[in-house]
Amino acid sequence: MNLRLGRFGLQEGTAAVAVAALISGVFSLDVSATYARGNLCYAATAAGALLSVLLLGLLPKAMGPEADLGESFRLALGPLLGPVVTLPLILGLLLAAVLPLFRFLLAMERYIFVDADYVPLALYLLPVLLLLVTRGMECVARMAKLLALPAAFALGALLLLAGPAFRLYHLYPLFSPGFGAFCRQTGEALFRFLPGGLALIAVGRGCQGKKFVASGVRRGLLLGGAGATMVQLGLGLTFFGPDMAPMSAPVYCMTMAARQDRLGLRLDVLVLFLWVMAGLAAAGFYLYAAALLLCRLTGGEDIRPVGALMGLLAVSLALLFNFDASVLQAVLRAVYARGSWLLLSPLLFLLLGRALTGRRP
Amino acid sequence: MRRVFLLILGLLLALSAGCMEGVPLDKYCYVLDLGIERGERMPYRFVFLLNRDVEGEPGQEGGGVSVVHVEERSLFDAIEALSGALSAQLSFERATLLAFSREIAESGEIPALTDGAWGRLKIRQNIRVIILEADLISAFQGFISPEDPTMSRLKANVKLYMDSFGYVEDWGMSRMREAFRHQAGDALLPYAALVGSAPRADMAGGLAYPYTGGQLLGEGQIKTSLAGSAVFSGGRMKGVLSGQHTMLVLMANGVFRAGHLRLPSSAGELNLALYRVGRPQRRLQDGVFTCRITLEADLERPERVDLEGAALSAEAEAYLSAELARVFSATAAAGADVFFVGAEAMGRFFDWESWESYDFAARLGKIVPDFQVRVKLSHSPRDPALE
Repeated sequence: MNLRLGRFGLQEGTAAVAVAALISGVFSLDVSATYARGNLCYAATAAGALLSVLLLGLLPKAMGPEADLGESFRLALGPLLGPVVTLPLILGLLLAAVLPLFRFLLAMERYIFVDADYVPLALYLLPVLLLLVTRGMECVARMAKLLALPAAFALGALLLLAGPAFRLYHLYPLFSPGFGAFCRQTGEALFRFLPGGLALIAVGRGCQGKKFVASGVRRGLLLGGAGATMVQLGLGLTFFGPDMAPMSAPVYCMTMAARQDRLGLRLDVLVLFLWVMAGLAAAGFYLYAAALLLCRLTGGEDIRPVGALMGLLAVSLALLFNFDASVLQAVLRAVYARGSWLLLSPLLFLLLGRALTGRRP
Repeated sequence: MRRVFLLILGLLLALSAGCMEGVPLDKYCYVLDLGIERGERMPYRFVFLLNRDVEGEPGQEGGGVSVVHVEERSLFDAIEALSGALSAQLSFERATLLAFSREIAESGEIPALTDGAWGRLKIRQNIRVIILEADLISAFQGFISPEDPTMSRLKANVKLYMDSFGYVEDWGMSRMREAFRHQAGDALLPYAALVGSAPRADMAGGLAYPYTGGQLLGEGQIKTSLAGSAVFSGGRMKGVLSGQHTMLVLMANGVFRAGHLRLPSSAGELNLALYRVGRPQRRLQDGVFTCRITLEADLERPERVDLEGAALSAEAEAYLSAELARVFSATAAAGADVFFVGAEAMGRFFDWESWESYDFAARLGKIVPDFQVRVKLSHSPRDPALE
């Protein structure tokens, strides 16, 4: 067995979930659809994070002392249905890694390396991602803990740089685009926060104690969710919603919204690359969890080829989504809008299976 | 594990270098300032302040910087034309000033000129914007002095004049474009002119001393002076407000920090040093825009003023309230919402469709201003105190 789960503690687990939730909460959303008719994303982000905490809070407690997520499916739904239900979860985690990578490629091509192509940019990201995933969960978790501070700095610097441009009236008209859109966006926000929590539960065996998994999920989602909500609120205070809709990366534009002199003039690129670094740790976390679930599903004993495949697949998909093909764009929109069902449906099956069979998953 | 960490961190840091093109830094020609004015043979003349020696190029030299210009239809065409004539690659990454001539601003062409494609040139969204009353080549050369060839003094002055005098407000391109697009408020861009240029009338009138760019009664090494604001309605410039009137607008908008005001009083013309106290309370209800402003004031040379402190405060309050109302009416009559009353109106709506169909611009002229200014004198003229 070479699953490279390693051992990590509460701090590493919390950091991994927090960084993943922060990155997904900020970068994994359909910018044009979310802001086109007003901005309630900050409220939907907060609601999505809290809902994810509620949904995932009880899950680790419901799992048996020896089981991880993959085994829970097998136990609750049987050897045939269990693995089938795991597949959407694996796909969901893979896509959760793809979405921030896609946004980073877009931002780098649009704002930093204007004359560059997406492929060489992606080739810069790939080695780090492959290293992270193939070195295993302990490496991912420790790297997330290491990058949690730069991510917090990026968050603080972002808000400080944009602070002078904050205007309350940018949130006007309040409640636009309406309650229906708020509910829809909250549902979409689940796809930004559930993957982090589910990934930690999936790799929970590596954590020193089951109670630390539950605690790490809760703390990580609350921390990451709070950070993502702050960024979304900052965006809402900086720009009118419809002005953000055509932006490739509103978070990058936010650093340049206020007049800056001297130091502030040069911090925007640094802040973006801090986000990229944290984003790679988050993507590595999702991909390792997806690879582990796939290994458990197929009985694979070495995670490295599966992890490497996941990394290649993620970067390839991020590249593909940058092509201006209508089919690909339709798929991307569907992922943003319905992605949370990839994660929710296995959980519903799990609970259903547990209720029907009476077996503790 | 430590080696792997170092390897990953090393790879991550390599990303931060931001280098992608195979052009050494010293092979770039950096545009520090960009100006756009009407051309003679083409629609526009683009004036660049470059920070690299370009001997033999059109324009003039000034230490390590040069002013070069080219006439073209668009900035992209201008870059194409200029690139062939320069020995280095043009880069806009360090551009910090974008200047438009008054003529271009009044023609309403700025929104079309500053379209989103400028991002491709890496022109920063927060680049400072000013309106210049002069031909830009002369103005740029006027800003340059032997001690300050890169016009950094002008840029510092915008900040100084905003924070210490209240004569201008510092605007970036991002905010300017937002003001052009939405009806939350209109742009109030810094206004500068060549010293001694033809005076531009303040659209609110009524001031004896011309606190306006080019009209200040002082001359130094920099031959282009900055004071007052170009007032916009949507994307079109409608007039000029003097520095003193700009200060009043900034007071009502909560941007004012400190400044000096000439106060005509029963004791003669007085100089008041004013300071912000808290933020103004603003409200729009039933077509009345109410704005309560509290200021702290010091009187310059109080020993020469034969007035009680309370009486002086009352005179200052009455003067400021009346002047604010006059500036409001003058700008609103030109269709310019520089007091951002639109933002107050916007807060009463709950969806974009209703707000957009409301057409606030058409209603601006009917709004009644009610400015209530409170001035707290730091010390009485009869009892001057040394602090």
